[in-house]
Amino acid sequence: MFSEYETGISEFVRKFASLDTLVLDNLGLDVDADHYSIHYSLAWIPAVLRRLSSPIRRLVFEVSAREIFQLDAVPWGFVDELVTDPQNTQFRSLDRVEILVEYKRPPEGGSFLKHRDTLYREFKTRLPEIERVGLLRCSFVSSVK
Amino acid sequence: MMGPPALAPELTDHIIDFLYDDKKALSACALTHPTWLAASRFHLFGTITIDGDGGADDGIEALGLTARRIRVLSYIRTVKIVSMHSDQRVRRLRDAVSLYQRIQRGLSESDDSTSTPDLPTIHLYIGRRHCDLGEEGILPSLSRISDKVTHLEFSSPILSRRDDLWPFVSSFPDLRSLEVIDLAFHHQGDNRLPPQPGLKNIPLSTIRIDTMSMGFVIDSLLAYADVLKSLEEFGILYEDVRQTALMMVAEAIQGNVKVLRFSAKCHSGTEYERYRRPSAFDISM
Repeated sequence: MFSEYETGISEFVRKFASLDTLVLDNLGLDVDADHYSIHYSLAWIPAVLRRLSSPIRRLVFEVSAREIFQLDAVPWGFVDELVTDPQNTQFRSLDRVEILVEYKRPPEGGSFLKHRDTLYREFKTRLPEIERVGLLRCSFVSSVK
Repeated sequence: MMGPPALAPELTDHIIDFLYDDKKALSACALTHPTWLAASRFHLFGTITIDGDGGADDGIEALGLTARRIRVLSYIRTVKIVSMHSDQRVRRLRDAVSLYQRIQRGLSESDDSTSTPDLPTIHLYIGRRHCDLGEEGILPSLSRISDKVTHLEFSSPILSRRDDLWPFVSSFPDLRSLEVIDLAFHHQGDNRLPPQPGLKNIPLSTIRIDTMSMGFVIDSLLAYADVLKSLEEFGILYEDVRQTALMMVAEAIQGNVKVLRFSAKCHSGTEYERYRRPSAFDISM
């Protein structure tokens, strides 16, 4: 069951009945939790995806992360299962799932991901069914913080 | 005797495309071989910045003075006019507009064909501290370029009056995208001031809102929903404390929206902090 907060968010997104593309942006997985008093949660993602009202073509996740383990804050397993389940008509027309990862590296540091291929390999394990049906697209951008 | 093996021009163009944001490398490429020049200039001069505050401006002054000689004006597709400081904002914006018009004139004079050259579009950035959007403020300074502005971005300005915002937005007939990142106001005005009579449509196709002044933006979006018929992309930072109002906005504008850019934050009691917003992605798929 979803909380009142998660239900509220999903109701908001559900209002958009003509959607072609849903971009879940600003997923700042590199946020310093100790610094922010906000309760940080991505539990609303399943609620939003499950209650989409229209069949979309593109689903995009825009993520910023510093470490590989931070990527796991997103419930990828749920996304993989939901999107590829033929019972879910809202994803029948989907032609791509895009993962855009931004990494702000310190001036002295290297990147935990070297290039787009590395990112693809990372997400191949997180989104195996989406990768298997050929929908997975990955892009990686690195910049000095 | 055969020459050295060479890549086809379309391949070198494609390789140079990957350097789109590396000005140093692009400059080196432009000097390497004549066949590399066009692709390098395409990225070097595609977007130039006129800093209305007098800071770094991509050497635009030098470009303006020597433009006819180096024939790069035709590569300019977008001019960013940036006004980030309140000090003498009106005068500095007027200077920035004059500089844009010099580019326009240079482009017209350097064009060999008889057809009208494509003039660069303008992205206008207004930020930080006090800004008067009305007739007593920056609006008259921008009247000469109003039909070239296609993107408008507010980044933390303190506007004089609330009810100046949408009349200002609607003064740009070709405006396609609006981004609002925090707004504050000196004086309260009417949030729900209706559109001027006769205003049938503001041709915005994209609105992105990430603002601490969400209440104001929501109110004014509701007031203007009927004239935002071209809206196709909507970006919003969802706040649970504004749920009821956000539902009304969604109902009012959802008709043509094809792309929803969505992020969310939840509050811990009454206290919250905003996530630091990642800079926009600009990458090729």
